Amino acid sequence: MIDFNTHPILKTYKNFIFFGMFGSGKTEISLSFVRTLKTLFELVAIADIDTVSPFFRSRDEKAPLEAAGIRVMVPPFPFLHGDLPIIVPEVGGFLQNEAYRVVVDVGGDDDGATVLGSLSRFAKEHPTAVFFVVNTKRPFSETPNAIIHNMYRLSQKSRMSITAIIHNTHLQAETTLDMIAQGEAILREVSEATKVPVFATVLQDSLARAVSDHALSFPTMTIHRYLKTSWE
Amino acid sequence: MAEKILLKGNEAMAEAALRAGCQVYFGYPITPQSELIEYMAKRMPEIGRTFLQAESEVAAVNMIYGAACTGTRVMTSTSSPGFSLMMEGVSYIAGANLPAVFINVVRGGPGLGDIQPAQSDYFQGTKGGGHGDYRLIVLSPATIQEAVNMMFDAFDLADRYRNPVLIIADGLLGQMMEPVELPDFITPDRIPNHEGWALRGKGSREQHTITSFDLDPVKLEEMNLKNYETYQKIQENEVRYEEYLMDDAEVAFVAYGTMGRILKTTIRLAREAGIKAGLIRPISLWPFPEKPIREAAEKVKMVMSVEMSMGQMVEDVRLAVSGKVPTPFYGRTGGIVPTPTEVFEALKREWEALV
Repeated sequence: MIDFNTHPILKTYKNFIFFGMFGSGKTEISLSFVRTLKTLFELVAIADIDTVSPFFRSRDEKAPLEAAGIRVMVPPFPFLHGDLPIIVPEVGGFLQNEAYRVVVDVGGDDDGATVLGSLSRFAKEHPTAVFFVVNTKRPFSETPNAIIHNMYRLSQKSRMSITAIIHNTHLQAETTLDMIAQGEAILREVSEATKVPVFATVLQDSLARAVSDHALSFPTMTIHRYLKTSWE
Repeated sequence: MAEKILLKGNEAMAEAALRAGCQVYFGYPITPQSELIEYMAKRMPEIGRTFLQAESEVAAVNMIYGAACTGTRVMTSTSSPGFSLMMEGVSYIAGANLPAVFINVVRGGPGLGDIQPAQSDYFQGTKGGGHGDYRLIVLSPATIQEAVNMMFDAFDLADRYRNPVLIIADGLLGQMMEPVELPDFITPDRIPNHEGWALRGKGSREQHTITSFDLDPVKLEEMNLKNYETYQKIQENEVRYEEYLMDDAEVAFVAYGTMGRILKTTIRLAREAGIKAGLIRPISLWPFPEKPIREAAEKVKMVMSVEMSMGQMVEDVRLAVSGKVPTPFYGRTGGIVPTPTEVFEALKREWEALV
């Protein structure tokens, strides 16, 4: 499992962008990652620039994140549940602010990547890690060729180059270790073809407890699932 | 067994429709349903089907009308205000006895409302919406897997009765993700060919005419009576519902779609507190499962309807119960989804007032 206390990624970068295909797990990873950052740094912020999904967004976790001392950048309240592509201007400011570690949760697919493109200048001028999140159990992301095609296309649309891939193969409660290992095999091919490294395999905390460090080939990072339905 | 994948409700209904033989899709995007039309736009050209984004819902429904005349499996999807726009065409399609499938991923209303989940289009779906004496077969899923299987059922029912079928899913079901198993694509021989009525070029056969129009009142009444024979058959044969813990229940909840799912947690809370609650979950909203509710009213002390509306299905519940036991209602609107605990508190208030 990745030890973020010592991992060089937190020394190299101050901004962390999670983008990728629709439903790949960007929001859940962002929500966990920003909390990890908060355990290590005083000034931490998260920006929700998802203009694609109407529900299950980072903004739904605004109150608990703020209670944890994390600065949350979302559209102002009257427009919070609006069907409008709003990016608050302070996002650019925080990406430039050297004092802050910033997580950016991006909307899915080409539309989400295009929105991200509006921030590409800030990302180029300040140390920014751009993670491409992949769940191989999602449609249009099941084969190496499909994933490579998505990576090139979304990278172009966002005008950002991908620092690393985050492997997030899962089927919610029905995830198995075999399934994750198959996902790793697919992403190894993607990584070899694109020369983009795989940063980590994501494990939900409920599964992480049952997995030994050596069961998987990529380093692992654990997330907690925050955005649940009321009956779960 | 086919491998499972992780799908949003909207994507799952789209893929399932294609596997159920949907050849043609016309639609217009609207939140919280847009993933469905986007999925169709991406996927249909890949498999040689026809996708067209119309200039409005009004155009889309009339394209559906035209395509349905050929007996081809055809569908559209929309959300509340968009379905309102389609109402004239829906009445024409029903009046002309054409098979077509509609999906309404319901959002908060009335008017422009908001983009959060709701169930306030029950009246619109089951009681008309459009003009004239017509019925839609209306189905409502509670899980994404159920929605997938329902797409096959919907196209079969539409073909069998030559009647439009409406799937009502609330916005939450459209947006949430679950692992699902997708059935294989059906083979073309499973789709009725409709040679006897479809418009595909006259050739040497007798002329086919499709219309909902007749200037002779006697003939128009005959047409209505014939439709009602069909509706009667649908009521006799196509009622679908789920019963949950009803064997020893003292309180019967009635709820459909996502609300039916939330109530299973409420029922657990109620039983832990000593109130034996059960659930009747209508899967077909029309034909409404009147009989199981009527029978339950003979055994239970209370039948409580819970909806994401100000109370629409509760009217059908009250007709079924016919005053035998109290029929309280609990609902939230505006896109607010009641939590299991909140419904449990409402149940406690009603129960304590009763016993």
